[in-house]
Amino acid sequence: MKKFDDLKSIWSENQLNTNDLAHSFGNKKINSLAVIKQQYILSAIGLFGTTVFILWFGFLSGKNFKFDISYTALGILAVCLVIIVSINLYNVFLISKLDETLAPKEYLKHWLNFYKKRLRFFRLYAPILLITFCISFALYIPEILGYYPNTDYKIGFIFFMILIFFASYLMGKSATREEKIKLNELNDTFQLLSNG
Amino acid sequence: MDNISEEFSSIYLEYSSKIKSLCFGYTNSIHEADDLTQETFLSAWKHWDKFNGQSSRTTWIYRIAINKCLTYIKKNESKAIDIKEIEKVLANNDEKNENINLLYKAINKLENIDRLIITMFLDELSYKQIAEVLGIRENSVAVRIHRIKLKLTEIFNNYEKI
Repeated sequence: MKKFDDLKSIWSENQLNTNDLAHSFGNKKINSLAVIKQQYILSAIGLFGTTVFILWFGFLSGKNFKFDISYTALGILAVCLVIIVSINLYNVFLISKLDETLAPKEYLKHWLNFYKKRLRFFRLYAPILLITFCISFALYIPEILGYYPNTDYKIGFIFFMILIFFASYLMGKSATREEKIKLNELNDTFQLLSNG
Repeated sequence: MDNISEEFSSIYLEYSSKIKSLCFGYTNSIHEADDLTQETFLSAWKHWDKFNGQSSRTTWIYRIAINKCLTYIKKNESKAIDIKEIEKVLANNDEKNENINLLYKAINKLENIDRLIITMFLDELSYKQIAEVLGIRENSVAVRIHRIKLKLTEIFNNYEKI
């Protein structure tokens, strides 16, 4: 049966070796905050590229759509994407402001605010964006189905809409769940620190 | 070598092993503990001028390390502890390894923040220093450490029986 002092001696007699560590400095890009920022930046770049492609395809490629409403649909889609790109860049800005030299309690408070904002976005604005997305797709569908004269337009339209709505809904739900888990984790640690 | 580099080197030599233990107790992975230790010292170097002298350099470095750990948990799920990994990096490869393996295993059973607190305590930081690192009251630290010590000892002894 060991006492805590025995554990302390075990600990002090077995320090981890850091010889290899010094040599590997500067070899890797490993900053956690940088990695999180990078994810948002890459996502923003990808979405911005998609926006540019949609705008080019709809308005600059010289393609003549059968229905005028298709231009509106692509315009709405581009606006939605620009909004998401802006949100990602705003996240990058918020993360850049995090100060790792703060006391953990303060640092956690900043992270909590960050995730609360993200969660608010998922709860309030993501559904609006999702509906707008669906509307823009709905407006564009006649253009796609128009090339298939034998297709039953109504069935195709309804099937496509249900598919998009569910895909977006499930993606949104899973993203919200992830954000909630992160928020709860941080909140628990924050509460443990606050309550002492 | 200028003064800053000299000060940084001495802090690195003195604390890198302790910071690595702290990160390992938290992540359960030697590779990730290495990464977090590197990140901690890189951040410390980057923000060296931000240090305002209100606390000691030691508490400042520990703060960065703990914040790194807290950021880490958001990206990675906790994993089962890899005992073989510990054996590879222990400075002394003898029969004492079994005890340190059990100790890390027991630390791993604690709450996230408790792991960090007890690791600092095992590294002989005072209550005052731990309170400064975490930004909480010294009394709270004392109460908390008392509770963690009991819990850790109990878990360790249970493991030893098995």
